[in-house]
Amino acid sequence: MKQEPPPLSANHWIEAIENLCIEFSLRHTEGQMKSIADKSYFEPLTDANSNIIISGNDSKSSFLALLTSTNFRYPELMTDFSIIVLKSDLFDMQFDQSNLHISPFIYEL
Amino acid sequence: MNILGISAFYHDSAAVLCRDGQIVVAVQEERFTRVKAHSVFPSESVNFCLSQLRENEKIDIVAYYDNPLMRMERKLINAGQFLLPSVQNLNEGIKKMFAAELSINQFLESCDPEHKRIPKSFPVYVCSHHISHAASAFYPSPFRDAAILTIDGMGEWDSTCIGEGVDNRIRLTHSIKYPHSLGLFYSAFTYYCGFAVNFDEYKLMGLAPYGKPIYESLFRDKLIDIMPDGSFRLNIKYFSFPYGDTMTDYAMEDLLQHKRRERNEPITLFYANVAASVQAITEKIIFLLAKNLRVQTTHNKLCFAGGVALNCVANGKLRSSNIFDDIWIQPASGDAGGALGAALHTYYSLTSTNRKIQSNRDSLNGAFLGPEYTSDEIDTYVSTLPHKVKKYTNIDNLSIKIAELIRDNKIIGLFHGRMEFGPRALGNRSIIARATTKGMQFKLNRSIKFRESFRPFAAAVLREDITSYFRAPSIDSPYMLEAYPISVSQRTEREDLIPDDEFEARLANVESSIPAVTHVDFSSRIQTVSKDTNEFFASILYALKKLTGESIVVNTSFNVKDEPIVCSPVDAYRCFLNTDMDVLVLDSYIIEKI
Repeated sequence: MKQEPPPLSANHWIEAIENLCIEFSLRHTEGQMKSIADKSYFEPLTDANSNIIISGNDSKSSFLALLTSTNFRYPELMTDFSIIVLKSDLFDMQFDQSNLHISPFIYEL
Repeated sequence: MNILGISAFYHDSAAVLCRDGQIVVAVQEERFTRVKAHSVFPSESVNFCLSQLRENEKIDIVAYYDNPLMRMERKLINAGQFLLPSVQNLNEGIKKMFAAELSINQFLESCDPEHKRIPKSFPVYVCSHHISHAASAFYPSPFRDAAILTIDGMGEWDSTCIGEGVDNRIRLTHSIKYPHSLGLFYSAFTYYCGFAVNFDEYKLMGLAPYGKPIYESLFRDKLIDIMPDGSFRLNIKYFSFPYGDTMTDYAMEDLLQHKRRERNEPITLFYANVAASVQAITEKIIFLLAKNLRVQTTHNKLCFAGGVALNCVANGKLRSSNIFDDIWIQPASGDAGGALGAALHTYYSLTSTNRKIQSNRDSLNGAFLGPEYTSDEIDTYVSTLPHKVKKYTNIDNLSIKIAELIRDNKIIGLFHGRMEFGPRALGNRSIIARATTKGMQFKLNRSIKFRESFRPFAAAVLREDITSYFRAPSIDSPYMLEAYPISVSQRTEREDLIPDDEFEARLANVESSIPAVTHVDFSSRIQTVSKDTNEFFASILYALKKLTGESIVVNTSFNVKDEPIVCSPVDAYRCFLNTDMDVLVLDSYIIEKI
């Protein structure tokens, strides 16, 4: 039975993913070995301490339960329970339980 | 409230049963499947946990030790950064997430299809990876409040976390995130030196004393930047783990002007020097992190977990530094311990129950939390064996007989009571031998364990005699998690004329009163034994002390190289037959190979 996708699509996710990619590249670039504050590489933790409940009877519903409870930083997600599509202005990614498909412009990153 | 804790799908799967916050069972799947560090869903461990429920009891809640979605987020971002090479990794990760981590309900259904022990519908709680580690160290500790440090390869994003625990609450406040990881740094050089990643890190630690840390400044200049608070950042240019199946590649080989060692190639002094340099950096970081944590928090005690917390050399030095008044380290500090932490964290998060804390005594019961076999089961099994066997109904007489066998330089497989949780054998699934016998180390490595000759053995010593043999604080160290130098009075210093790269000869040349447990740098990994945690093992040491004046033995895990520790009498007997072990102690039986 087809169900409504969860309300997770929003423009700010696009910005979030770009920031994440930038942050990530900073972490592994030789030129950025020194910390930003020059004192510490520690980052504050916000959401590590809470328990999250997933009560789904199958992997898809568990996935959605987890998705709605976790601070998942991905730009856009659509699903009709047979396939999940993750979109950003950088690349599209879609997968079902056995396959992953990534649109070609991922390679333009 | 019965909580089933589970860790699975990465390495060293485990299941734990907690009843009202008390640990009933903790067991690793490898012990049943006989595949070391097995990463499958721990069905056999779960079944064992279910078998320990009381009549009419059911599982109320399942707790999982890692957030699969956050792990996938890291893989997504990683794929975005490293393009093609990691897309395959991502694809496999997504498949694994759906087919494994998010299918826990179905796996559990297959363990109990009739729902006798697991209800049809039950909640699964997900804890973050490092909260699970932190909880595994804090909740069983004997501390009401403590600073918490967790260090491993990686969780979802985090590789190092700091925080605190007070009463029945823990809180992690800061982290260092993937790809910057001390665990992966250590594993990268484990790989570079020709050992198996997530498997052989202790071999790198054992190799380090043969070398000198001559690459420490090069590594700190090029590979890792360390802040005064112990936080660090890797230069990923020299590491290949973010995008491939290897940990290092040509960039590291160019830097060191030396090829990576293949598994069967000889171990040269170069690799020992690399190991020593990596160990020195690891110790430096752990020291700085602990020092910072002591200053930043008001707590004078420390709880420590994560795979890096198994580095017993660093642990011994950390305790000796007195940065903290006391330290408690989770003996199952790797991912297996995550199952325990997830169960305990879920329990204390959902209830306002106070922890039952006994001063100076943790709630881990000596880590003897695994399966045991009844006298009837052992009797039945022994009756099928074609060996000379003798049953001892009096435990004192049995202990005296074992002590006599040790005195006579017999190598003994000791199988008794509940098996240990975690990687260390602590007397219930151990191979023991006389520590004062020269040549015993060589014999154990070659004929019993079939492993590299450079590797040292640990010592089990009566708690009250620790300072007679070692330059160590007078402490309980029942989990074999710390290494200390041998007392100067127990050493015989002599001129070392053996070339640096002849490891076996160097080890044989080390002179001490306890050569079988003396490493090349006069250090030793120690387990203190007392009647409080292992009455039988302690009684053997008391009997040995009476016979010989020695209250120390070699204690190594009851297995051969690359196999899990034996679990059942059948495993123990098979190992006994396939090695040059002289005697098998199977509960109250002594079985000799004559």
